[in-house]
Amino acid sequence: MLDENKKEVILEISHLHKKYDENFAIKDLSLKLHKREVVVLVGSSGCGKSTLLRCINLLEDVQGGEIKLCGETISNRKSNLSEIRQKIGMVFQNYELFPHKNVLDNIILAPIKVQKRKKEEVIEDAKVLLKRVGLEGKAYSMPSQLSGGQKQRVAIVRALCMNPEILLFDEVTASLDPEMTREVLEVILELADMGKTMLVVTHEMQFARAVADRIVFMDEGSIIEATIPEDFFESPNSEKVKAFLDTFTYKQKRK
Amino acid sequence: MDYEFIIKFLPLYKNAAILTLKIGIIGIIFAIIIGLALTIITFYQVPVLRNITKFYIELSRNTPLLIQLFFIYYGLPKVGISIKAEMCAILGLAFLGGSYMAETFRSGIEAIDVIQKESAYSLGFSKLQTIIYIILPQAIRVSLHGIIANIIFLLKETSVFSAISIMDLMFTAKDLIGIYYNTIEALLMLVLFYLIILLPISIIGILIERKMKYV
Ligand SMILES: Nc1ncnc2c1ncn2[C@@H]1O[C@H](COP(=O)(O)OP(=O)(O)OP(=O)(O)O)[C@@H](O)[C@H]1O
Ligand SMILES: [Mg+2]
Repeated sequence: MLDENKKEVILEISHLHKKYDENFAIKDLSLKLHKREVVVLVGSSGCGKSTLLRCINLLEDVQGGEIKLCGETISNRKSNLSEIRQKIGMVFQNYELFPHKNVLDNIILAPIKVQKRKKEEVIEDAKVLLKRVGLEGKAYSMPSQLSGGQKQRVAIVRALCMNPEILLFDEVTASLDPEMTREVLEVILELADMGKTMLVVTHEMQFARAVADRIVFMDEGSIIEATIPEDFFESPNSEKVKAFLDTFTYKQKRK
Repeated sequence: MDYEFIIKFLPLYKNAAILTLKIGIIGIIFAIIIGLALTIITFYQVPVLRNITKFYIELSRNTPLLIQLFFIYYGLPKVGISIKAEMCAILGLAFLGGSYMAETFRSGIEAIDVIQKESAYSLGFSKLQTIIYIILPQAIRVSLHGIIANIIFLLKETSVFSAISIMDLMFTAKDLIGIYYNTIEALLMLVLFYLIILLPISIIGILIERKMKYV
C-alpha cells in the first residue's frame, strides 16, 4: 500500500461533470488509476458507468473538471483524438466487431492503418493473442460465424493488439449466457495477471471480487465508495452499497 | 414482320446501344462519385457544403432529366460554356444520378449501428478512415439493392437523350420510323435492345447481392 503513491499514474479524473441536456450523468467525480491497477466500477443501472467510460474515450464532451491520461489533459480535445484513443482500448457490451471483415482483419486493420505498423509483424502479434484467448483456429472466420463469447474475445484481442496504456471494459458479458461469460471473464482475469491497467464495468460480483484491486461504487453520477474488494463486500460503509449488494444476494436465493 | 428491315438496321441499333451504354456507364460512374462525396459531407455535417448538398439533392430529384438536359445543352452556351452533346448527356445523367445515389447511400449508412462508428473511433481511426474502411463497405452492402435499382433507372432515363440529338437507341428508332414507317419493327428492336442492356444488369445485380451477404 505504501508505494501506491509512487506508482505511475495512468488515468487521473478530477471533479468531472457531464450533463445530458440539463441532467447530470456525472457529478464531481474524481478517480485515479495507477499502472497495473485493476479498478472495477459497479453501481445500479443508469448511475453513469458507461458515460464515464465514454468520456474517458473522448466519445463525449464534458462540462467541467478534467481527465488526464499519462499526465496529459485529454478531456474536450478537439484535435489529435486518434493519438489519445490509441492509448485507450475499449470493449463495449454489444459485439461491435466489423461484420464485413474476418477475425484477423478486424484485429489488424487499426494497427496497420492507424499505427502504420508492418502487416507481417501485426499478423504475428494477432495470432499470438488469438492463441492466448483460445481462438487460433478462428482467424479466418467471419464474425457472424462466432458465438457471442468468441466475438467478445476477439474484441478484446483487437483492443489489445494496439498495445494501449489502459483497457476499458463496459459490461462485456452482459449479453452472454453463463458459460460464455466465464470464458470471457477468464481472459480478463488473465490480463489482470499480466499487469494490464484496466477499468472494468461489470454486474458480475464474484468476478469483480476476484479481479479488482479496488472497487468503485457509483451512484447518480458520483463515487460514493472506493475500497479494496474485501471491505467492499464484507463491510461496506454506505447504506446504498449495502442495498446494492443485497439485490444480488436476493437474486441468488431465488435461483 | 419485315425481317429484311430488321437485319438491315441491326448494326445501326447496335451502334446506338453502344453509345447509350457508353454515356450511361460514364454518367453512372460520375453519379456514384458525386453520391459518395455528398454522403461523406452529409455524414460529417460539413458546414455550408451540407446546405448546398441538401439544395442540390432536392433540385436534382424534383426536376425531370429532360429539363436538366435542356439547361445544360442550351443554357451553358449562353454563359459562354459550350460542350458537346455527349458531354451534356453525361453531365445530365451525373446530375440526376448523384442525388439518387446519395440518398441510397444515406439510407444504407443509417442502417449501420452507431456502435460501429464508435468502435472505429475507439481504435483510433480518423473520421475519414472510419467512413472509408468501416462505414461505407457495410453501407454499400446494405444499399446494394437500391444502387442497382438506381443504375437501371438511370439507364432507362437515357432514352431522353435523343432530345439533344444524340444518336442513341431512341433517336435511331424515331428516325427509322420517320423515314420508313416500319413502326412495329423499329419499336420492337428498341425494346429488345433496352432489354439486352438492362436484363444482364438485373441478373448480375441479383448475383452480386447474393454473394455480398456476409458468410
Ligand atoms: N445519449 C444520452 N442522452 C441523454 N441521456 C443519456 C444519454 N446517455 C446516457 N444518458 C443518461 O445518463 C445517465 C447515465 O447513463 P449510463 O448509460 O452511463 O448508465 P450506466 O451506469 O452505464 O447504466 P447501465 O448499468 O444500465 O448500463 C442515465 O440517466 C441515462 O439516462
Ligand atoms: Mg452502461
